[in-house]
Amino acid sequence: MNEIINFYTILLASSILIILVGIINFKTLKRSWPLGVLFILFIVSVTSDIAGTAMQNRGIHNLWLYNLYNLIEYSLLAIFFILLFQFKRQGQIISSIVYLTILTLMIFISVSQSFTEHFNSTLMGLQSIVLICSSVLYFRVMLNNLEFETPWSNPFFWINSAILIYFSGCFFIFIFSDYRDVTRTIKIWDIHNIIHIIYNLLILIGFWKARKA
Amino acid sequence: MESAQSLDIFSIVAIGCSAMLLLAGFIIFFVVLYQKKAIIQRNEVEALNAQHQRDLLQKTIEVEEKERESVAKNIHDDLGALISILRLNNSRTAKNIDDKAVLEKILESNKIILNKTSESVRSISKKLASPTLIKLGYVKALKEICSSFNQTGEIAMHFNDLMTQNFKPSAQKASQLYRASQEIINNIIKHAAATEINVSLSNEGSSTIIKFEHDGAGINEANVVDLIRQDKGLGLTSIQSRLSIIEAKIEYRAPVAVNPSITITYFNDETKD
Repeated sequence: MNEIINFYTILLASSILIILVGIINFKTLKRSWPLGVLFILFIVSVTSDIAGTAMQNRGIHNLWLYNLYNLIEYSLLAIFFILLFQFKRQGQIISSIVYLTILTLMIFISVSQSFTEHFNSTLMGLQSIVLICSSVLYFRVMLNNLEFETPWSNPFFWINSAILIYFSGCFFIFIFSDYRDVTRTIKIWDIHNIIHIIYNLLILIGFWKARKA
Repeated sequence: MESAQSLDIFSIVAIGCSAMLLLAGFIIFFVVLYQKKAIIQRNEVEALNAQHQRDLLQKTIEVEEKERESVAKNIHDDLGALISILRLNNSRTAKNIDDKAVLEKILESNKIILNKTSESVRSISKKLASPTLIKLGYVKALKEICSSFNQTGEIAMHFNDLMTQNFKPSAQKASQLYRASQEIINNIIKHAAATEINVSLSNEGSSTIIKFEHDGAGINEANVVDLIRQDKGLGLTSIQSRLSIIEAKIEYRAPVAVNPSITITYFNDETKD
């Protein structure tokens, strides 16, 4: 139990650190829309984590909050990718339609299944697949444009790698998240938290690199 | 029983997570590797382009130097000789100031020499800058070249203006185009042993096509590359560098069945935009 709390605390601390770095780099965030969207995502993430923990401590059912957070997370990351791809008008419309269709499908799945009673694995699985594809697509765009001499100097290389590692690493955890008792027993969420900490660290590097870029 | 199921699911999740993480790591590794290679390749291409530009510039300077030498030679050979005669006539006048018959001869000779000097000056200035090109533009100047070669009777030159749009490149671009066209015609006469040349101007979209078709021995793109590589094609390099300055394209064709041709494609400003 203590280990879970420890990982979770580190995770929460790293999310707060990202927000602090974001505040320090506020001028950069104002210039870059995708980074701004990501910054909002982290504010929402930390808020929902704190609220979720508070609700859990008071014995209030909080799964609906995490399911809602997943929908918001997907929407913000979809906006992040649409802004990041910098497609021309036609490409932007097409990508927006694709993301919006999947969001509609996710909302439909949420409504048709029990939104408040258990963690929605279909929703998470679908979200992961879309975001994995998006990050691979961004790598393709990045290799076509070759704007930076090295990938390390590109802040979006770090952020995109973070998204790819997190959503592919946690894909199996998400699709098996319906097995609540099982996952609790074998502490599968520890793996999730470790990958999430790596995700946060990579995003942190990305935010920091954005200052120089 | 439940514990065994838990273990199975844990194994599936653990193996799945590891496999997916490995896959993600591989993708990132591939991206890093590919970008490094792509950047190296791009830098190499840029270095090659820069080298090519430097070579073109070098050749342009060489051509300009050669043109200067030619002008200096013309001035020295033509004007120098005529001025020397005038100087001699001047000293003859001083010596024969009382001999009216000799003075009249000298005066007649001076008239002829002055006419020749005037012609020489006109010819040299025409070589330096065509007055027709300056006053009437590229198309008229090209037409003038054709008719002046026609007048020699050594070669038949036909000029066809098939353009449907007005062609008015800037003075600098027209000058480069004119010099390149002059060099192409000279090359055809000197090296292709042609007896007939057809020069035509037409439009293709918003580009202007200038085609030089002849009945002599043609050269193709590969021949041009070989000649330039062997340092035998200073004129060809000069054409290439002049056209690259104005971002025009040149194509050498020498098919077996039809007459060889050299085509310049000039992209009008709105095409490039």
